[in-house]
Amino acid sequence: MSFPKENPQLPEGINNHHESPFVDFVIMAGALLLAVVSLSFLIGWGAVRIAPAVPFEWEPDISLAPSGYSSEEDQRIADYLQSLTQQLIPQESEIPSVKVHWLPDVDAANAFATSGGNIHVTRGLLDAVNSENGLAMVLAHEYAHIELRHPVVLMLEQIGHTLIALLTGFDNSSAGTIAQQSGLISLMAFSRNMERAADARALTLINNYYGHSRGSEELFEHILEADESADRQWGLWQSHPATVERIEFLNSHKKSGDTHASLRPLPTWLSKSLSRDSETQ
Amino acid sequence: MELIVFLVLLGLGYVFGRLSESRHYRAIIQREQVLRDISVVPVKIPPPEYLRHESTLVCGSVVISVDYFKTVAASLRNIFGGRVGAYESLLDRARREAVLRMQDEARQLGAETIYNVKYETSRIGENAGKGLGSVEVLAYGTALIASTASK
Repeated sequence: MSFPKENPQLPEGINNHHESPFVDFVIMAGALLLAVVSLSFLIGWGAVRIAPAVPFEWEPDISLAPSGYSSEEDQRIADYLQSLTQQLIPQESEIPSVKVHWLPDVDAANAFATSGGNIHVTRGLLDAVNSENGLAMVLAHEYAHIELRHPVVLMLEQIGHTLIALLTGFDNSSAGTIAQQSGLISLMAFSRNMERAADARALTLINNYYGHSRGSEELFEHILEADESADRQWGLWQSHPATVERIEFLNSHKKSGDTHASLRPLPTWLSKSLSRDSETQ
Repeated sequence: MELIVFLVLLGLGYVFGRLSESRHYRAIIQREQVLRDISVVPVKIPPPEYLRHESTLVCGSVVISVDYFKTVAASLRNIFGGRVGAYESLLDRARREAVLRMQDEARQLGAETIYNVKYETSRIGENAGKGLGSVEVLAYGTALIASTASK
């Protein structure tokens, strides 16, 4: 027996597969993307159908507003918002109670609904609308979220997504990034659909109450004026549809007589109170 | 933003990783030809004809870093299963490079052959985050050098 005089020349590709790593990567990333998106879609599809079956009483009562108002003025505004909302709510509504909270210290124009039938309106929002019609549209939109049970839908979707993440063991690893992003994109797409549904429902409520929908686009016009870049953000990651799209939707549903319909102004005391506060600030 | 950073890292990892890998393979294949005459065998006991040779320990060690693209591809493989091609080529390169460095050392000592060759692999940078880090491969064996007495 003796050692070989030289090493054999082994063929390449036994221990290293010379496949195209890029193609391999694209196939795997695509499959993961598709899997997460279709799973999210399934969850979203299910959530929208399950949510209405969940009794309203089961919704946890979540409000972000402080309990009680510091001044009589704030209490008066809160009462006004509450009564305006009550007038918009249809008689046959299945929602037992809707509470409107006034956030006097928030300057950003915003309104949002939270679980348990809570609507929040900021000072910035009242500054942004010019008429009662504009304000009523926002309140009707938030009420529509509550009526369509969107807080429950959102909760179910989030539970579903947490489950996907737990099942697949995703963390901050690199493949996790792909999964998280595709999950986020689907969630945002559902969120935009919910906003569209709320806009459509709100428009019906506004037409029922005023008989026309003039002024309903006031807030969106204000958003566009305040920030022209609001519409240049790429749509996939946005939680709301493009502002321009929402204005177009509202305009396309206006009846022929709507342009001549008269707007109901905000109460004089409210306008005075708002302008006084902005002067002191 | 997070996604842009991710894609840039992925692109950089892919381009530079591929470049360095193909360059490394070319070098490996060429040097394996040059060093073919220093045979490398795993046998523990040398045949009697080498009884009068001098023997000494030779080793070659190499550390190769994982690029970002490879970690992503590998973590995707973690989900789907199958051969982790990205790491296979990395370890293949590391093993062959380690043997080449060991052969280099043997050649400098004037050795004819290396027997009782073994490998060790370890991961460096455990704390550098999930999946990212480097691998070290160490190849060692006993080089047999024809002593002047046996000639």
